[in-house]
Amino acid sequence: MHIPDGYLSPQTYIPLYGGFVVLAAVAAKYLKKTMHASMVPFMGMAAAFSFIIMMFNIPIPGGTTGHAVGGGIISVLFGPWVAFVAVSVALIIQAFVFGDGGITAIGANCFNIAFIMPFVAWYIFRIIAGTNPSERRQLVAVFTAGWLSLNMAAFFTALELGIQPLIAVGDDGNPLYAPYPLKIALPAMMIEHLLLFGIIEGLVSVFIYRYFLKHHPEMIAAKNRS
Amino acid sequence: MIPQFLRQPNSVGSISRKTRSRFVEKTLLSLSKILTVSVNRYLLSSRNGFLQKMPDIIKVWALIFFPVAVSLVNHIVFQFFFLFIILLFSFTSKVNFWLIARHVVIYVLIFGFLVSLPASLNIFNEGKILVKIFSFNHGYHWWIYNIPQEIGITREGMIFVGRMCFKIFNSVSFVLLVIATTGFENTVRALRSLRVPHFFLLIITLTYHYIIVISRNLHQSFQAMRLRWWNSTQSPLEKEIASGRIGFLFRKGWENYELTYKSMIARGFTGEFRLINSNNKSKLGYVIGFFMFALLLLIVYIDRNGFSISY
Repeated sequence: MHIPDGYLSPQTYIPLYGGFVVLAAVAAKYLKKTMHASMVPFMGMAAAFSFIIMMFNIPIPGGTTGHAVGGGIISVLFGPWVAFVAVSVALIIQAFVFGDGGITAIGANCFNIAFIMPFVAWYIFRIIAGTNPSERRQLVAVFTAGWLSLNMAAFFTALELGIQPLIAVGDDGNPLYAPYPLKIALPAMMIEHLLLFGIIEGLVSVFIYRYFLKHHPEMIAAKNRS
Repeated sequence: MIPQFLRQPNSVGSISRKTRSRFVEKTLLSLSKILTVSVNRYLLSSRNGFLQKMPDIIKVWALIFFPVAVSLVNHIVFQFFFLFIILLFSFTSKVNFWLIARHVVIYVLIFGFLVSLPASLNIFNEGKILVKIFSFNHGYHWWIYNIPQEIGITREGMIFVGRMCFKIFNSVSFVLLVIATTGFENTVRALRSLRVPHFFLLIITLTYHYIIVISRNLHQSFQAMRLRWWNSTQSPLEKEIASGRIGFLFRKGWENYELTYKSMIARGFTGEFRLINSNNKSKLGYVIGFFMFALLLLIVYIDRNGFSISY
């Protein structure tokens, strides 16, 4: 889901960079107001946690592997703004240090994976789990939150890629950046995420959530605030 | 003396040399790479080369401007020129370019070549067919989709695929080259010039260090488990192990976080974040940096306004 360099036009990545800067400022303001300074190393830990979740490759039928993004489960565990900062930092480190995901696409990637995903997961979990939920209901809620949040992020990614042939074409009428129009980009992204990667995300979220439920239930932000 | 628990028979299975590559092992492999990358980076950044001598602020600005210039420029001739610049920087900075290219080529193959390859067909974009692949009796139209009578690889499509591969290769290899010759801490400090708040920079620095520490912890714990009873575990058990390890690394991470905070307090942390400014290197570095930015702007300008070449 990480968009690499070269697929987004400046008309897309500049506004998304701007949006990311605004969101980062809001997150910093919110977290400074609601969190103690001691939470700064905690945020670093949450970001490292997010980074490592992205490295757990799970086998997919057919011989290949896929990995979870972790934005949903981190949001359920620590809250959406913490997840926003943590996942953004993980994505920035991935782009700048390991060359995964484009530099020009950082704004877009952070918007899709660090903003859309955590907020969708947070609200979905809280709606499904409700107040005082059973363990089974919590697991259903966290699976749905993981699955749906990844699909929403995939939808926005497909949208950003799919509009490129409409907004950035050369003199010959051919696209200069992502070549596939919405009618191709949307189904291609959504089918694989709805049927495959979303399920992986949901399962990984359930595994991690079950561990926390068993060993550290007091740390689950979405459950404790409901 | 061998402890009792090591002498007990293994309840899960024995270790065999014919171990199937499992997903947890693949994760282990990527984690080991993080440790290798961080060590290599430290070694490269301490060499006496061209990029190592450049001011960190210039390099951080170049990290933003170069990929932007690469994404804006569409002529393959200029993309070749960017590649030449990268090779020149790599040579003068005493960096073995193959080490960077090896990583980037896989990335380009997946995201540049495979993803954009179907776009070379005339199903997606119009153009002059160079290689005919398939021919129908007539064209098909279904809902919003059109399939032409003749399907083939177009000239415009080939140029597009080549351009995408070049763009991704140039962007990623430049970023990796600059980061490899700068060192992580210096890069983060120089990010202050982009007005990134201290709050974020501190989190980025801590995260990077946590990643290395956690990777090492995870690596060691997996190795220990593998030596004990890895071979014949079943898939559900693997998933249990994976989730347990993620939980374990969270606990380890939490311990690290508490220790870090205590050591910050012990060193006089009062809740205010301030990073030491990046070191200013030679004035010549600034002059060269300025010249390079001007060159990038000129290339983008020529590409956008009036450069034409027939492929």
